Amino acid sequence: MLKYILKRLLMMIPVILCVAILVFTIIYFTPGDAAQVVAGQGTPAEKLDELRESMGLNDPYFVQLGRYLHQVFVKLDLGTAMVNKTSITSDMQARFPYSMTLALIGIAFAICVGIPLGVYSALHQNKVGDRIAVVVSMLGVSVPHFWLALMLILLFSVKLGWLPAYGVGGIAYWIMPIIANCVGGMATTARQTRSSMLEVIHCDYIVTARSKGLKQSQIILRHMLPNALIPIITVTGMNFGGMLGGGLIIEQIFTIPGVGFYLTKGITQRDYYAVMGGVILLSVAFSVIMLATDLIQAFVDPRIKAQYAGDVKRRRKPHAREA
Amino acid sequence: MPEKPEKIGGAAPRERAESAAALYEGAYGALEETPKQKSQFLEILKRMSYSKVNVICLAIVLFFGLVAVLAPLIAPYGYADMVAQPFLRPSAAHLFGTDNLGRDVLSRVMHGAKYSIGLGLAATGVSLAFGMFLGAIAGYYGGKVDDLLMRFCDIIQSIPGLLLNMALCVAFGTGVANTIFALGVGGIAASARLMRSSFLNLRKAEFVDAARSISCSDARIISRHIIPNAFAPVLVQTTMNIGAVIMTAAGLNFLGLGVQAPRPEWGALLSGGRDFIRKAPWLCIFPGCCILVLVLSLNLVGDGLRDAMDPKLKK
Repeated sequence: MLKYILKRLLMMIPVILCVAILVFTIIYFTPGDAAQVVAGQGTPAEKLDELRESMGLNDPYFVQLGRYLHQVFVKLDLGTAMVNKTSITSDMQARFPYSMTLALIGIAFAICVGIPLGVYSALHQNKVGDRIAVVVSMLGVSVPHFWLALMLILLFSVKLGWLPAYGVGGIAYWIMPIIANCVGGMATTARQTRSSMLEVIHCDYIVTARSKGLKQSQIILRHMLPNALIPIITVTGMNFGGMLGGGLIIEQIFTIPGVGFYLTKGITQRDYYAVMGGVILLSVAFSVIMLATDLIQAFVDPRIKAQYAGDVKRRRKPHAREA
Repeated sequence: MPEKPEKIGGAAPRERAESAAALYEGAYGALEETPKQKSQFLEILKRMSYSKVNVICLAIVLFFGLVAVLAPLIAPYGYADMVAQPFLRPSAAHLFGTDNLGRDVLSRVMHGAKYSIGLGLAATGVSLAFGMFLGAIAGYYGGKVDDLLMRFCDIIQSIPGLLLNMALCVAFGTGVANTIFALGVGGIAASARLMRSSFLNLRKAEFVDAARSISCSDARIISRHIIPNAFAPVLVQTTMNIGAVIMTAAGLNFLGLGVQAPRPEWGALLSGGRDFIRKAPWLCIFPGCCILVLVLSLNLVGDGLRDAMDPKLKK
């Protein structure tokens, strides 16, 4: 198991490196003059030339790429923001906790509400409660979360005046952003739970468990859920990525000073370094989460674990990885 | 083989052999699907129509499509026409009210349908076309090519979806065509994976061996024998994704990327109405409701389509 974790950690390095290269390349070929952004409008042409030379913008693509990668991965420095001239690394350190809080609490809600809801629907298939749960989760999947955020503001801040419309502070400030951010994840978790529970519910081992006279709660917790859990974990990992990305708009609406807000500001100011830093950081966070979901899957399912345990010959072929 | 003799005499040997392979392939497909050769499409539609929800949702989707196509004809005003006082409440004259510049919100929403649905369809088309091409190559050749392309997909998919679309939007710049490509490129990895996995299953099918044994070129085998058989599941999956693409497009436009004012894409309408949410909440309510209803109907139609095509649920 430890070997597997180490191997997966090592495999993450090239992926992250490639993400950085990809993001750098996308931004590199973006039309626009970085020197102009740094110097501001109305700078004389000679000065811009000088600046371009000192920033190394006249160097070939590979030299610039190498320099950027060296800076990010060896010195662990995301560079200096072009407009505000602040260190992006320290900006991110200040902002990352907000984005993570938003996504982590969102995921926690998605799991705590989504899984019980899905289990309930599966156990009461085609009854009234299930129908309602299915409709509600379908609505949750289809509602644009930024619109939901606006409607929440309209109801709870403008009409009722219960919650603050924007900013950060106590718990009251977090309620609406978290609800808006996690509704989609909650709904997908519920849908996935329902469908994978329905797949195991008629299995022979459930009949056996029932005929043994086990309590319903024991059957659900010990026999159904563990077997239905693998796709649910995958969906939860994907949801986390959705919430990290979706938090971008939510942070902007509620003016939460997280990475997403920084990114959108970077985009409007054409601050390419800030955008690159933010995207790379969030992608790394996402990769770590995906690794964690893989490990949890191995932990939950002995069949997956067996493939990596000790020095058992690996049965998984390199091409057998399905989409 | 039940071929007419004069046809066999007339055709070149290779074509003859290939038509035999195609015949076999038809028989193979028929065995896999339904015992009787009926129109698959009609059969699926019939199965879908058993559920009232599906019919209603399909009608809603068609209604939105119709509004999008006919917007210039049936919308009361143009999308940039300032026709009344600003901030009029919804009334008989202006069903959805007017915005900060006195433009009719109903007309803007109707014109916006064209942009929102158009973006969704075009971007899906782009990711389908490129994804199918790459997935086909990876699935057919396997080995190093497959590994390389799949690792590339891994990398693209390790950037959270909206972030990737956003970065691409920044790189491509604003405008309708650029937004379509930014959204489409983001979806390539997912459809490439799908195409690859259905190619992996079909690669070993007998009719492919048959086609290869009569020395068909790779391009011919891929385009004439495998893609027609691999297409359906990929198409259904992608159709189910259109709703999500429309939502992502609205999100990007909400952030001010993508389609630019005064073009009335629904996300852009929301973004414009956001500043006046205290004064004129109808600016936000109506475009958002349209997104919700359309995406909901699309998702339900997708679900219905998947159920109708699921062989396990056949009667």
